[in-house]
Amino acid sequence: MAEPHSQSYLDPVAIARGESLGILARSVVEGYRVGEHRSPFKGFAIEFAQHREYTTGDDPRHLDWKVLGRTDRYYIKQYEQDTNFVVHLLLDGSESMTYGSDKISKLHYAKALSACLAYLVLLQRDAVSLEVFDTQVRESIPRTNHLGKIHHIMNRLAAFEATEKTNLGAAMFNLARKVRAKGIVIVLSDLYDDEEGFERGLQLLRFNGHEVIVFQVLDPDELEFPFKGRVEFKGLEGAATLETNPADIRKSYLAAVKAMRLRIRQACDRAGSHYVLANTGHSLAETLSGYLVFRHKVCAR
Amino acid sequence: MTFLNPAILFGLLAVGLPVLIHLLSKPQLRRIRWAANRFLFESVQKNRRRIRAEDILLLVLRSLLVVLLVLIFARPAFLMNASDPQAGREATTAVILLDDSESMGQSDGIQTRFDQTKTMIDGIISQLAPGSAGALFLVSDRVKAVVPKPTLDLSVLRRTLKQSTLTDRGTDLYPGIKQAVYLLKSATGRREIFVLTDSHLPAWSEIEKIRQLRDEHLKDITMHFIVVGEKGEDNLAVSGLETIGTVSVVNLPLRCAIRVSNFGKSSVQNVPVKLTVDGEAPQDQGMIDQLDPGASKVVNLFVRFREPGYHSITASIPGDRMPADNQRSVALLVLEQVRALIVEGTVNPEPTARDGFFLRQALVPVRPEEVDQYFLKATVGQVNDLDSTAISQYEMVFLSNVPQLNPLGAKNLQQYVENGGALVVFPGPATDLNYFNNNTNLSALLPATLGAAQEPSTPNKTLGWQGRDYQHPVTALWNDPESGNLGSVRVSKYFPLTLKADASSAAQVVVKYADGEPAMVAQPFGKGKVFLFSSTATTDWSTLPVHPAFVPLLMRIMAYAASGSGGKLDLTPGQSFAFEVGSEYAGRNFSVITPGAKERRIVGSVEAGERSAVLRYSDTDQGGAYQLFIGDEPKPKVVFAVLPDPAESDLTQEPKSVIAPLLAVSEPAARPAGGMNETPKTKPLRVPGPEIWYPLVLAALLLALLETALAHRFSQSK
Repeated sequence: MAEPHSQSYLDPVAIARGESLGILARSVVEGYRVGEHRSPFKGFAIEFAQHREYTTGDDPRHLDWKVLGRTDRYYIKQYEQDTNFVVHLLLDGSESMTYGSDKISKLHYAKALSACLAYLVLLQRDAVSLEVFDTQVRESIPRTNHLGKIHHIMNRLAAFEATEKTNLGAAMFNLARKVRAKGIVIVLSDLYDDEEGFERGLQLLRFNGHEVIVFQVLDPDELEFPFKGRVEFKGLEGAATLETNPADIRKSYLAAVKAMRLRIRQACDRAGSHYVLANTGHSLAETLSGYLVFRHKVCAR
Repeated sequence: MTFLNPAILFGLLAVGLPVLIHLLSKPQLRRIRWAANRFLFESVQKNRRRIRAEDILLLVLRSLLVVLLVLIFARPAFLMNASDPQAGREATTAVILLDDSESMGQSDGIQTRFDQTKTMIDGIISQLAPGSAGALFLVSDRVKAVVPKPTLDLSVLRRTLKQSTLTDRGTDLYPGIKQAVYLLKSATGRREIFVLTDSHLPAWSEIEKIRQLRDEHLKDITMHFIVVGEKGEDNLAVSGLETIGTVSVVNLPLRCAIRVSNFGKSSVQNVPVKLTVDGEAPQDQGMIDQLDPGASKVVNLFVRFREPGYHSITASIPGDRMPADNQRSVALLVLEQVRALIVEGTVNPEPTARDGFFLRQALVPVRPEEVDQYFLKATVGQVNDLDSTAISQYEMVFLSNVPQLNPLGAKNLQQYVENGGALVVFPGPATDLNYFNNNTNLSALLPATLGAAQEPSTPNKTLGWQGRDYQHPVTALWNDPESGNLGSVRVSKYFPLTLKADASSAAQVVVKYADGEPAMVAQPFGKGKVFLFSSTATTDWSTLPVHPAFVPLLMRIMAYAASGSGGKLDLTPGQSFAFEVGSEYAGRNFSVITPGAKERRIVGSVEAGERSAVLRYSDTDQGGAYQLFIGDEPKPKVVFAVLPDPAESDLTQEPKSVIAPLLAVSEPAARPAGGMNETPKTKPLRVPGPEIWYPLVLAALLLALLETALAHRFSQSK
């Protein structure tokens, strides 16, 4: 399957819809600049948060004169500080992602989804970082908030080719260890890996205060298993070859896939993360906007 | 249990066919690189036992189906004692011979013998045991295998039987029985031949051979001879119809001799006989006052033709229970006029002494004022007249006392005869024998060589013509004494004729002298005919020119010459008709109106030949007149007639005492090898009993249904 040009990763429809919705931080994030998102640091910005007793060294400008007038006690007003968040994109670049029944593979779809997300994040002046991994991190783009870097991100994505097995749990664990500041971690993978490792990584990220969004990228063939006649399935990532009549095992296979998705979803639920199924048979705009609308509603509550 | 077709059991090797098909279908595997193999392995592992069980079940069912099919074709049957009544219910390979000759058209007032026989055959088919096979032959003087090989589908047999029609052919049963025996030699199991006939005498013309054939196959083939129609042998028939005398010419009365025969056992009175042309209203009719049993009477009736061309004449008598022979038709060509050229060899100023004087008088035997109205136009000419190609306008050319021909004339004359003209040669004193016998063109035409002129060695120096036993159609008329006597023709000098002996020659003696030497010979040449007399057309050497038979003899020569110009018009049933037409007709469709039919039916196209085209029609089983039309032409191009054998009208059956040994049916399977009356000394003979392929077919059908249902179910997503 020929890899499309890097520019094709940005889907205009997806961008247009995502731009109006924006990516809001669902939980408190630790930003490095004053921005649209709530910061765990209480400062002296616009929105009142709490009072604190005045101590030496505090700026007298923040004294609550009304409280002083009523109670003769010195209190300082503290405010919620808006901050810019950092979105960490964690893209699965293993060989299993190269499968694609139509013109595009799961990897291509995931790359396009990553690019769109990065663009949207940069567009609202937040920061984004990207890691493409299989058994180890193959591509790493450090945190950036320059919109102009989107081309660099896309070029790096386009240049990447998947050949190895995957180790999603290790990738998540490494990210949790590297990134101390709370942010949003978006995992894009088919999740054909050790589910326990994935859940441990997920919980660790959540423990570190990150919000985690899991995009499970699957092909329609993998979800519907529409094959007929005798078929030889040659396993990717070193899996064995299997010859069978798909009709003989279709129901069983679909049940297994459904069960796996359910387990993943439950793991995400347990960790308070969002699980999104990215069906490569659907348009990127549909997948992205569908999730962003959902997210917008959730954040508005 | 035994198998009637054991060789088929080799087909059991095909039990591996499902596996083979499975192996052969393997290369059509689709290959896919797949990411979610983990779930596939889980699913396969989970379903492995079920899939294997389903595969094995389908394999077993399919193999079992193959085995069942092989067993069905091998025709399993129970073995049982020959004396067991069930043994008679074993499947039979039967050949049914149905007599479809003309005599089977005799009716009992309700049904014809042929229809009765068809009903009987239907009953025979119904009584055949399940699994029996049957073939059907229509037998007359030919064998028509309408169901040529035994078929298990007895409905085909019934349908073909229903569609079978009667012919007007003669009968001979032996060829049909022989063919049936030959067919059954390759069959296995119980074999039977059913012969259904009206036992008409000609049917048993080869009864000894039939008996011999039956005896030879007594052990393996049972023959049943079934006679239908025991009564109703009275029959009155038109047994003959002939045109008498001259050529058929427009508006000239043509005499027809109609022979009516009484084949019954009682006399009949007042039998009206009618004569019609082209199926129109009768032109003439006569009455036979009394006709005794076995007797025949001839009625002479006349017809006239209004138009030239091909016509049919039909003589008919009132209907009886054998309708086929109540009428008889002949076909003939009617001419507008006949032109004859008389070539005189010498020049003589005295009219009565001229070489062609008597010929002209005989050809145009009317008063001078009636010559213009007379149908025959005779022109007298000299040898030089033959040098012109204009001779092609004449129907006949007479050479009288011609010494020699010019080279061009001889060549023209040969071409003329080859194209259908008639040549009559009277030698005379001036005739150059050396030229006649050696000229390339003339000698090829002549049916005999001429010897030196000689006088008879009889005491009175004259020699008469034969007085009876005329074999040739031209002279056959004088076999009836009422027509006169050719024996009174005398010659005083003649050229001895020696018939050509070469194989290609078809020369025939028309009439002989009393001492047996040929007096007149004839032969066809190309499309025409040549007649050679041994004496003169003048009274110098012969009394023939002044004999009363001279005029009718010339007319009959003329009629005979004209009859074969386009082809033979009167055929026997089943004979193929061929007629030459212009090459411009090649490839065009032609249609036919068959006897009794009113509408034309397109039956073929005109075949292209080398120099002309040929109309060919073969479906002539029915007696009567056939009209053939080319394209949309309103008038028939040619008419021909099929004349059944009058012997078929004699419905006398073969005495039962003669055919009784054949009517006794033997059961070969039940008979020990030692002989008919010998008691078996060892254990009883075991023969194949009822076949059991019915339950096998049922089982195969159920199995096939089960396999289809399971295969469908197993192929559903699981």
